Amino acid sequence: VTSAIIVDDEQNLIELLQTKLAELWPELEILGSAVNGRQAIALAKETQPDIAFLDIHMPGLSGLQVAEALPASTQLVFVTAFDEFAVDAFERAAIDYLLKPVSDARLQQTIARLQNQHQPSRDQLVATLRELQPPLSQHLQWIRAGLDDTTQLISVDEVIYFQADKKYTSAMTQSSEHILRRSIKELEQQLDRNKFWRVNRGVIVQVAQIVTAKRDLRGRYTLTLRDRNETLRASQPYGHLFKHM
Amino acid sequence: MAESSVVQQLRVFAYTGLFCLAIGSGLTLLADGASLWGNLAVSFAIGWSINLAFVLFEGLFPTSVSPYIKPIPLTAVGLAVGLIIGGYAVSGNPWLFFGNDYSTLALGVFFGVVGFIIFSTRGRLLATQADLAKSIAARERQEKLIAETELKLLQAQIEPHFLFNTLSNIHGLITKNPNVAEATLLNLTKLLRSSLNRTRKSQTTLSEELEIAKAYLDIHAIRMQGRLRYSIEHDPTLDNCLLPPLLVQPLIENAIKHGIDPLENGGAIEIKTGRVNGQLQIAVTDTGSGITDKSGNGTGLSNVKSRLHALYRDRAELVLEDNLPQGVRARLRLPFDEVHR
Repeated sequence: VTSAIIVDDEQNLIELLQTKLAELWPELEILGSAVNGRQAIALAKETQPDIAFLDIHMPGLSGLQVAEALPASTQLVFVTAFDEFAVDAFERAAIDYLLKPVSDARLQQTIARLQNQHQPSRDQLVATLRELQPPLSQHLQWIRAGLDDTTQLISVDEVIYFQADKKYTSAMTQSSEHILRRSIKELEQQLDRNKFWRVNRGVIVQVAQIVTAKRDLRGRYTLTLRDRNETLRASQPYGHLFKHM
Repeated sequence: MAESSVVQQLRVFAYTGLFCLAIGSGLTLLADGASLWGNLAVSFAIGWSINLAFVLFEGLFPTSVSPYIKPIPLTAVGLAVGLIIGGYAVSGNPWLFFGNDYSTLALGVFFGVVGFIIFSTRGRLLATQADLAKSIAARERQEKLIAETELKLLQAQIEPHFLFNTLSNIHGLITKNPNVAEATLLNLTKLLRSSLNRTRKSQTTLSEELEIAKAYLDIHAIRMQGRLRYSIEHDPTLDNCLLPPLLVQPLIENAIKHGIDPLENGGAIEIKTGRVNGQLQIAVTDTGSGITDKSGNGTGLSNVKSRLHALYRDRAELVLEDNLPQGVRARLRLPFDEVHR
């Protein structure tokens, strides 16, 4: 007897798939269901199913982590609501997937394929999934600004420039100024260098905000910004950044 | 800037030259006795000295000094140097014009003042024109920004993943729980209709906005089963406040996506409306996973912020803060006076 588990963070959808499978593939034995990645791995370890229907978006562990942790003998069918990129990659790798809401006809096709044992290798599967994972940012994305009890969360994308200020650093956004408890040096190390440039000893500016960089006779640059009126000065040692602007 | 400012300066010197040429030859024609060459030499010496004084010394003044005060010492210095050079050129005696005959000094002061008035008027005119062009460009950019952020928020409102997931839930509920299926379908309809209607409306009422928020939360609550709980604490006297559409839903979406959904056990969302410091405040608080340094970026929230800025400048704000012991609070504040239009 072929056995399966269903993994989806939405109970309604587990039940739906369960009902449909019972109708279209009565011989299939459903060993259980899980609503998150952690449960799914535990369930698969315990039941050793032949097939796992796996939702890609789940709380806790991602579809990739679950896929890697499932027993190698378990065939995977991915279920997703809408994922242009995932679907495209699945097509290329000939990995089976179901789009929600799942039609009977489409589920029938998948059942036929599963019965014929058409399954790409696990390595290929994992490689494809890895490709789908959005790269996790290694850079600072959010900063806590303000002193004492008035801490705000600011996305670095909103910061037009950072300015060193004695003990603290100011983050200038389109309409306000925030005080950070980080040194400009520390910020420089954590920010994405493709998005933020240090232009003088005390200033880091978001590159996308620089509208013009005008050079004076001493090799310094005056920068105008998109969303703030003041200009910034790029000192001579940082001038190379603007050579080609 | 370096090149263009040099060109600008050269142009000023050229204009001054023309002016001096007119004065020098004019004085000769009016027969003051001196030779044409002498008059030209003195007037050019004075004119260009004043120019040079501006070029060299204007930058030395702190920016706080009024643009009407600055030219006085600069013109005086230029004039003095010009008279010395002029006197030397004409007679070999640099102090010629500081001796008994003050007529040249008086003429110099007179034309210096006239020249200054002409040039500064022209400069102000150019500056005004530039300001006008700048403010027109700024307004156009502003309007474009308002339209762009609205489009982005509209697109985000019915996100495909959300739409298909909801349809799939309804699909599952039709046979199992037809009543909930029907309610979910109606909620989805409300959401879709609002996103179509609101493309044509620039303002909506708070009660309407909360209706939509409720429909949106109900759909997610069905989808997430017990993992999402929510409450709305609303001051009914604020029902008819007007506000731009599309600002509240992104806050809820963010709370679900980045706060509640990643947690296996879910969490709660609380929406609270009220008057704070004479402003309308809408706070969306979640008990979700919170934001860490490297959490994904909040594109939806950035869109709301840009839209607020485009519509209200600094009279509205969206503030994000940690909710203790866990989660995030988003506080949206809008001016009341505009809200009551």
